[in-house]
Amino acid sequence: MSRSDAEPTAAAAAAADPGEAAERIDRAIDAFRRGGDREAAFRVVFDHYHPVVLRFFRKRVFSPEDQLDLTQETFLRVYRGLEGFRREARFGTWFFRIAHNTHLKWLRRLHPDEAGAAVALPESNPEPGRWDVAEPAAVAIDAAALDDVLLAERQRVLREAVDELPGQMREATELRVYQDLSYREIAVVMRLSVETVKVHLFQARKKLKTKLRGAFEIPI
Amino acid sequence: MSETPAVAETSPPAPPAGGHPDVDAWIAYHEGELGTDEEQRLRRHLVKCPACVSLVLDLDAFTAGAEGPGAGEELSEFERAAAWRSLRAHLEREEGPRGAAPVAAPRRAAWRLAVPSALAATLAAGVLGLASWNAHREVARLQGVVAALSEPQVNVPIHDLYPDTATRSGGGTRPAEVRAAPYVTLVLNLEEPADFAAYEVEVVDAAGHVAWTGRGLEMSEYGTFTLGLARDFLTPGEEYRVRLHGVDEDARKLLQDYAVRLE
Repeated sequence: MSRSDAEPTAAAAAAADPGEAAERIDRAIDAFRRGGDREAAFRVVFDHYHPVVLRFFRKRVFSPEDQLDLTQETFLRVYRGLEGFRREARFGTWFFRIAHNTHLKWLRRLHPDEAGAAVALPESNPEPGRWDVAEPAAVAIDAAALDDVLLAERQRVLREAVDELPGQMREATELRVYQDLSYREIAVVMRLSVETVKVHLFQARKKLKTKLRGAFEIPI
Repeated sequence: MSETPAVAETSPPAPPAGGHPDVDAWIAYHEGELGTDEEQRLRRHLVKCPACVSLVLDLDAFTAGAEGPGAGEELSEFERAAAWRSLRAHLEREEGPRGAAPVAAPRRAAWRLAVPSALAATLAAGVLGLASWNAHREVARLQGVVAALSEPQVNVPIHDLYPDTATRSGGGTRPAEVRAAPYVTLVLNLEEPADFAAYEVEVVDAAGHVAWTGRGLEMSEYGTFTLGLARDFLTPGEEYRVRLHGVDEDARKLLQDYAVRLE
């Protein structure tokens, strides 16, 4: 995830109006289910969702071949299930569930004993001796170590100040500072408007500035 | 709001205790179907959990109907067209040729049908599995081709296509032979000068399927268009039509239709 509040990209600017895109998808689904030109209808769905599905798997799967494989598998399952899609859920939600299930199924096949759970990282040092070398007793406190101490202290002070912010303002600030989300992403995650998020963050910044008395720049 | 890069100095949130809510809970959250208390609880979880934030943002990308920033940058048009062709080939193998109506099998005694059916099903499953495997390898291979073609090309053959190898009706009888090379450049010459806001080109195979679409073509000062084509995206020996269109607002006009055959 990355911040993207700056100028929209050319691709985003060229993207179709969301309402219009949704109508186009709806028409394509209807055409598909009526049994018209299914290929043309499904091509509309494919063109719209392919980047979304591929991005979904790129975030979760390392191998590019597996990403493509799972993307195609998702589309195949959507194709096979489209006739039975009853509009009880939004099409996007139904599609997302298929992508999610395709990913889970793949994980289960990959790690049958763990039922798709994430592979746990070893807790102990896998190579004893490599990092266990005892430091000399008298180690000079170098500049880097001092920076680490200062950084930790700044983080602690900032964390305390953020914790004192009220409800939604604190949550929006945490998502911004600790998860590096854009305004739009925060709005989606908190189910608020982008404008409300901006107001929360503006207020938070003011409060943190006062609280921290300009000790360091507020990362919002 | 400043865009201070001080974020790097912050530590990530600690993972929440008690596990993650399941996908149904996030769908209900996203759809606004939860009560206030449950919604608050899930929101508090999100603040501490980048993994679930990622899930909710993905769910939003599927449902918003809009492509988020950068969404269109995942694949080139070449790659996306290759992915579509691979998917279509898979579906055609699964469903049979387009438009083929299913034919009812004559009734037979169940026991006579059972064994051949089981054998056929096993064979079909094997063929489908192999087809799927091949299709995906094909997409991966084409991605490799795209990467290779992104490198500077040397001695790229250039073919001039003139209107005498083309007709507007699509019935050209003299396809231009395109030399075997990983990458070829076609120069499209027009019969008459054109003046449109934008230009597009389609490469259509013999069955009428659009194998590739290119937009944003620019006319040279000589009134020609240059089109780079990767041989790996087309089948040698087959004939294709290269169709150049002029686009003005909503109107799209076929300007020239060239016939080409790959050696």
